[in-house]
Order: sequence, then structure tokens, then C-alpha cells
Amino acid sequence: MKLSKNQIKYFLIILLFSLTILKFFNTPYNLYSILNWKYNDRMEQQYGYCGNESWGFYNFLIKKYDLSSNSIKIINDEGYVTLENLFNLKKDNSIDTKYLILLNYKSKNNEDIFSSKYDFVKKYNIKYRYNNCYLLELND
Amino acid sequence: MTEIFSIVSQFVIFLLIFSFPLTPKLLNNIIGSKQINFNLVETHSINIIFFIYFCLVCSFFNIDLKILFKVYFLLSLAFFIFNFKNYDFKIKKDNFLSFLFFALVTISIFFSIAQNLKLEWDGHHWIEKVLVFYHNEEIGNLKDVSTHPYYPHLGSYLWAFFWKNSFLEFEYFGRFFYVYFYIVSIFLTLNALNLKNNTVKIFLILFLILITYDAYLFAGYQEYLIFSSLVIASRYIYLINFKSLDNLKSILLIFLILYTVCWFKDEGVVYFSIFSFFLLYFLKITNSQKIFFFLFLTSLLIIQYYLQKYIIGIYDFPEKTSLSTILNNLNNFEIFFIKISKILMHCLIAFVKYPLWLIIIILLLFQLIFIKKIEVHFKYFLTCLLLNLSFIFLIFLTFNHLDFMLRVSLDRLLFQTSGFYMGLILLVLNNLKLFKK
Repeated sequence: MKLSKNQIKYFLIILLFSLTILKFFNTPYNLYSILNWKYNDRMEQQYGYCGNESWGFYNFLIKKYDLSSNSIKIINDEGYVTLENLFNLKKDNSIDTKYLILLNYKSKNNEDIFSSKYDFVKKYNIKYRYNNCYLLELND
Repeated sequence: MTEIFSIVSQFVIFLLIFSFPLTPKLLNNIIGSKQINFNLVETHSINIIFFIYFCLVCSFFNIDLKILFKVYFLLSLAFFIFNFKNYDFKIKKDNFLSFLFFALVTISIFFSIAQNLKLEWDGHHWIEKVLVFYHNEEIGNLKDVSTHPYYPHLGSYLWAFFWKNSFLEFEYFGRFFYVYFYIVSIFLTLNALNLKNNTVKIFLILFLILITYDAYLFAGYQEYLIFSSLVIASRYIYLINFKSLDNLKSILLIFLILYTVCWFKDEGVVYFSIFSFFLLYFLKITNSQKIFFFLFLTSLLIIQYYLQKYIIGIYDFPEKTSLSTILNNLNNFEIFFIKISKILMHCLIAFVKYPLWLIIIILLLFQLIFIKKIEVHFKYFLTCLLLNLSFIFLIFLTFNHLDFMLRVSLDRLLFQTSGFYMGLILLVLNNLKLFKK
């Protein structure tokens, strides 16, 4: 089968435009990533485990503790947006809630969380910690 | 693999449900005229607008999203099968090429969102409203969300609708509608260019997507909904003849397309008012027709106020402004000058960030300096542009945290309205010899 000049031109245009689109939107890598990593893994890659928004830390806490029935104080010390909406948590930073989630806590030298700028932390004890991310529970 | 299959299926679902309830033949019978002849892409865009209105109405009745989807999907499927002949699918080489690139671009953006599925800052606020609908709560609960409860809810409803009715029920599926709407609007616009060469047309479409695509705004922002609605509206405004209208229904259609922006974001009310009332002003119709349309437009605004205030329970604007604040600014010349220069500076930055603005300005100057043909269409778009920019300048003059607001919102405000001036681009391009038939 011999292709005419016009047909060759037509296929070249399709190929050129298609490759441009695929490169511009990074489609091959996106496809590879979706095939390789599950939804939760990609969420963790994007939001971080205990860094940035710390999606992974929330996800771990939700699975391990029953946090949905109480209001929770949530603080991300690095100023990232908190993810209570993605996990259906009731965030309330105005009162001393039963639980406090403190993420990406920034400290100097030997400073620990109880000597931090957040005075109210003294009313809590550590229930779970991973690096600089804490789940704290209000003392009885 | 399941996720890939679900993403591609979502595209097919969009194709199917937006083929309902109008076919090109049906639409031409209802509102077709010498000026506007609806083809497949145009009908698709009108079906999307119909669907948006369908969702708007349903959002007030607390109907289960799953039931709603099933009904709409089955109706679309039945309609598609029974009207297959009326769709006028011409399997021509050019049509095939356009569809191929339409599918490729749309699915590529779907994959991009599925990989970069993080919501950006505003997305975390909008999702509060989305969750109200996702959990089938009463619409009145919208007023209890913690951030901007007074913002309109339609974008959130559409997001929740497609999130809840996706195969895997992942959040990001809800945002695919925004992508689809955007791509359809871009393809629709370039359809109006007087170009015989389809390859050039596709090249221009890809170029337009290249300069208007911003992945950040697909991460939960509502800007693309306003942008796309305005692109579609301007496309039809471009087609009508201001001096001798042969069909008033087309004007009604344009007003209804423009009205959707009021339900996406607060500032949509201002855009709707500017673009609609000035369209009415420039149209050559009888005074009684003008009065009728004026009352119609006013009643649309009142309906929105009433529904938000009394059904949802809240109607407000995020930034309060008053004439006295503006006059105070004018009194102190030094502060006024500093503010104006800051706004101007950020406008220039936004123009470079969203280069569609640069094209609009260049083509505008080109028309004024070289072509010098000032038609009514051109006057209308120019008036809207001046008023639109004046509104942005005035509103920013009154902000207390000007530097912060300029940094975080001016570029988005400018981007969302840039779509409206696509009509202006078409107008100038079609005046060039290259594009003349």
C-alpha cells in the first residue's frame, strides 16, 4: 500500500499534535503514576505524611482512633491548610477539645512540645506521635 | 487499571449525558435563525447549560444525587438511541480529527488531575459546600459552613454530583466536569472562525488551551466555570446581528448563559449585570422589547437574591464596599496614587500570567489602529472591557488588605473574565484577510 503525500502530511500532523498534547500535560508519566500507585499513596505523595498538609498522618489517626464523634483542635504549625473536611472531622480551635492534632511542630534546640508557644498544650498528654506530628488527648 | 478505566468512562458519560435533551435539528427548530445555525458542538454546549440549570433547580429540593444521576443518565441513553439519526454525525476527516484532539486533551487533563489530586487553598473552602451536597444534607446547611457561607453553591453542587456518581467515588472525579466544560467552550469558540483549513483551526485551539490552561485552578477553584460560561456566551453574542435581530430567542439564550455565572461566585452578579444590561443597550430592538428584557434581567437578579436569602438563609458579599470609602480614597491623592500603581502593576503581572489578556489587548489595538472598523459588536465588547476593568480597579481600591488581596485574587479575577473577550478575538481575526471567506 502506497500512501499519498496528503495522507503522509495528515498522519504527521496528527502525530505532531498528539505528541505535543501528551508532553504538555505530562500524560505518559501521569498514566504510569496512576497505574503504579493507589489513590491513598498518591494522596500521601501530594499532601505528605508528616510534612506539608500531613494527609498521611490524618489517615493513620482516622483508622486507629475514633475521632469523628468529638470536636478536635487542629493546628498546622507550618501554616498549611488543615484537612478536616477531607476526613469529615469537626474542627474547633476555640475551646479545649478532647483531642488536639498538632502537625509539623517547629521547635528549637531541646525545646519540647510542652514548653512551646502553645500554652494550652500543657493541658494535654501525648497519645500518639510521629516525628513532629502529634495527637494529644485532654487530661482528665 | 480500574482507575484508568473509570477515568476514560467518565469522559464517555459526559459525552452521553450532554447529548441530551437537544439535537442540532431540534435546537435549530426551536431557536435557530439565519444568524445562528447550531451544529453538534454548539448543541453540546447548550446541553451543558441545560444540565447546569437542571442541577441548579434540583439543588434546592434535596434530591438524592444518585437517583438524580440514574434518571438523567437513563433519559440521556434512551434519547441518544432514539435520536441517533438526528445527531448528524458526519464521519468526515476533519470532524474525526477535531474529535480525536478533543478526547485526547480532555482525557490528558483528567489524568493530570488524577495524578496531582491535591486541592489548593480555596478548594479546601469550597469542599465544605461540596460535602453538604455529597452527604445529601439540606441546602440550608450551606449557611453553617465555616468559610464564605454566602458564596453561591452551584459549582459545589456540580462537583458533588459527579463525585458521588463516579465509579470509584473519588473526590477528583467531581472536578472533571470543570475540565470538560472548559474544553468544550474552547472548541466551540474556534468553530466560529472563518477558516477552511481544519489543521490551522486545531492548531489555534491547542494554542488557546496552552495559554489558558492552569492546573492550579482545577484544584478546587471555581474560576473555570465562570471562564467557560463567558466563553460560550461571547461566542453566541459574536454570532448575533445587533442591528437586525431575526430571533429574540437567541438573546434569551445568551442572557440565560450569562446568568449561570451569578451562581458560581459572588462577583458573577457584577459580570452578569455589566455584560447583559449593556448587550440590551446596544441591541437594536423596539423599546417595549427592551423593557421586557430589562424586567426579565432584573427579575433574574431578584430571584437569585430571594433564593439565597430565604431558601439557603444567607446573602452577602465577601468584601464590603461603599461610595464613601471610594471617595475617601480619592481625597488622599498620595494613597490613591500608590494604590492605583500597585493595582496596575499586579494587572500587568496577571496579563503575563494569563497571556490571553495580552492577545486581547494586542488585537484590540490592532483593530483600533490598523483596521479602524468600529462595528457595534466591537463597541459592545470594548464597553464591557472598560467597565469590567473599572470594576476591578474600584473594588480593589476599597480593600483594607490591598497587598494581600492583590497577591491572591487579582490574577484569578482577571482570568475568569478573559473568556468573555474571546468574542473580541473572533471579531478581529475574522476581519483579517487571512480569515475572510
